[in-house]
Amino acid sequence: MNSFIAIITTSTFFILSGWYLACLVPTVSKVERIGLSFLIGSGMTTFIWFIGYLIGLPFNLFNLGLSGLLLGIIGFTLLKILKITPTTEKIVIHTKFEKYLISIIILSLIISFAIAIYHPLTAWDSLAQYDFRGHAIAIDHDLSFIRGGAYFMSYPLMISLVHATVYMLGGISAQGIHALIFAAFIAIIYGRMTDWTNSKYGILTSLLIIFQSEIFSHSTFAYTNLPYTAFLVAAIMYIISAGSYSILIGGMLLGLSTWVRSSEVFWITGTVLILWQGIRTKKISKAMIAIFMIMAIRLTWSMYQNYIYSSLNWVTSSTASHFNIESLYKIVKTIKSIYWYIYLNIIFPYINVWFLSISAAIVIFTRRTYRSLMLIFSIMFSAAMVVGGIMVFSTYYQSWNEIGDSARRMILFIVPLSITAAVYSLYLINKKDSK
Amino acid sequence: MIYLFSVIVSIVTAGLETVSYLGFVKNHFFISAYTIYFISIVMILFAGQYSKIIKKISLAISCLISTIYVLLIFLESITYPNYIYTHFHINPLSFKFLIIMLWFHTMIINKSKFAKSLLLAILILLGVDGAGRTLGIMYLGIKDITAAPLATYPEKMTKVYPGFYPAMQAIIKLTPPDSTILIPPQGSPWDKEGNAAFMTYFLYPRTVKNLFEGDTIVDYAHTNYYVLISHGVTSMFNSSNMFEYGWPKIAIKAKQMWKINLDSNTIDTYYRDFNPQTDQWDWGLIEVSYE
Repeated sequence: MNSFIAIITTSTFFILSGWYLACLVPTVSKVERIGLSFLIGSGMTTFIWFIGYLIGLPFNLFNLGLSGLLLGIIGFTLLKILKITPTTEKIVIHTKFEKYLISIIILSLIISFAIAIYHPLTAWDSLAQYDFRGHAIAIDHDLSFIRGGAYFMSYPLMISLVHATVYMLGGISAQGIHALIFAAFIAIIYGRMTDWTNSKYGILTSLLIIFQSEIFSHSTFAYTNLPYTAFLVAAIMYIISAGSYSILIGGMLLGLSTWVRSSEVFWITGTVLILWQGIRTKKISKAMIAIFMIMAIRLTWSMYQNYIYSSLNWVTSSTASHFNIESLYKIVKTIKSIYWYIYLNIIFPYINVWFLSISAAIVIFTRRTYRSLMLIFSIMFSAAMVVGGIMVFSTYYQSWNEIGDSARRMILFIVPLSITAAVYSLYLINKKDSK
Repeated sequence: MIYLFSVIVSIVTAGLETVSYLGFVKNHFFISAYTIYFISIVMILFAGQYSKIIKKISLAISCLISTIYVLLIFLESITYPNYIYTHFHINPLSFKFLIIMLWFHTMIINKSKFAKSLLLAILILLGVDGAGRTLGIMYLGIKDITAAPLATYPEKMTKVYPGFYPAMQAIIKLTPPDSTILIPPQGSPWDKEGNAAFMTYFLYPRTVKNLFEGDTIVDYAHTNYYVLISHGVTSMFNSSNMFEYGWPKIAIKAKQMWKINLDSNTIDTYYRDFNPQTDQWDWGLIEVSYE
């Protein structure tokens, strides 16, 4: 019960603190606004909390409250300066069948929350990394222990700070918050797809994503892959949406995806989309601000991480430093192993999704719209980065072929992205057929 | 007519491979199943107008087969991998082709165009495959909840880590937060209790350090140092006498030591030194003497 109350209190606080910034997308449904506020609130509040720590403030509930308040004030001021009056769009459900499907969505999300909050936190990486750091921060109110080990510094702090909040409020397990991140993500998916198409396609996309076991199972345990997927995919969806300030929200979410997991490079995909969208819609200044937000969030963590690593005399190896002839030779030598690694961990586990992406691409190239092209570009560009990344990674990480499970989890975001692209293609076909 | 014939051939092919194995058709009929599927897709060029009854039959068969697939995948999710093949001799991978072929041609028969039919067929496959597995996860999760809805967090943790979790709780009670716990070296048979990162999760803010074989306890004989006594866990990987169970393996001068009896939920205290020959306990703790 303690965990339930602590998780609900934490989530309500994040929603409230992110509410005004979420209003930068002025016309959305209440469900989408809550989902977006939760993602922005949890990401930005913990980020400001961390900045506060860097200038000497301890991690405690008072300073967290101040961080939330500051975020709220920034959002409110922006709304006033930009003269945005947010309005709430009503969710229109046309048929009884749609109502029935929405009930299934809500029920599934409740089940996900129940499973996550009931079961103890036992997933390995959570115990050794994310949740442990949450406990340590809640006990110490600083990073004194975490800074002592390079292993504990290998991931950004967002999820651990969210867990720490739950523990400071008296919760025993913070696992349930991952199901709420999932619910927020589904709310955004539903909202965006309904905005681009209509409620029918929004429901279909949400249902298909919920009923992907890989995604659903991640909502019931405390890994960072699902939160990363939520921030990244939501970012892409806002970047390619039509609203005046959607690109800024997209940039912020993309930056926050690097606050969840910093070693992945898929923020580059989003940055290319921002530039493309900025040029296409002649919103270059907004695109630049969005890119600045990404870099500010990303660099703050990576600079701090490097500072700690150097104080520990920990030598790190970046992917970029391995682009050379010697690496190329190594890649050619191990190309067969790389092929099998990619086949077994990237292609085969998501074979249905890759087939879906290919058929969506076929449709999109015959019925081109800028949004559908951007969606398919995101998938292809990310897939290419995965292949290239694994090749380079194999040249300097000795046990690269023993961590296939991590590679599989890393590409999790491809599932909702492909489903979104496919359902959007279906909408384009039906729209053309009905003309 | 030629189109319907190719559809039937492709469905029968997918069906045959579903109840046998991938490659069955090629082994027995010298033509790959993929070629047959491809031909049936090309044959849509000859698809014509079909009566309502054919449309309804194809739709009904597709729905029925998809429902069977969901049920089978659900069963596999709540049992073990390969359950379907073991019990029904049905190959889930080939079954996927059957679903795609069925829905693709059902869409074509119902006047949908190529791209839409292909997209819908794969979307339906993704939906039914995901639904079967997700319903399995939901079922197992709800089953746990309904089995013990009021279980406390320690009770649930004990269920996941029997022996280990109650022992850790006992150690927390016996040691001050600023103490250091010396644990066995990492590896079998101390997979959990020898893993410093894992142990730190349960014992924080206590410091956890590995005590390696060959280390002398003098190196660690300072205030608030404790040594974990652990027999090691017998698992499927170390059930034979591959390892010498029992830790520590050296005599240790002790202020006091505790034997943790998990069966009776009691702790016995001894004021003497630790002797590895006689003190072969499942769980216990030694407070190192630094005099």
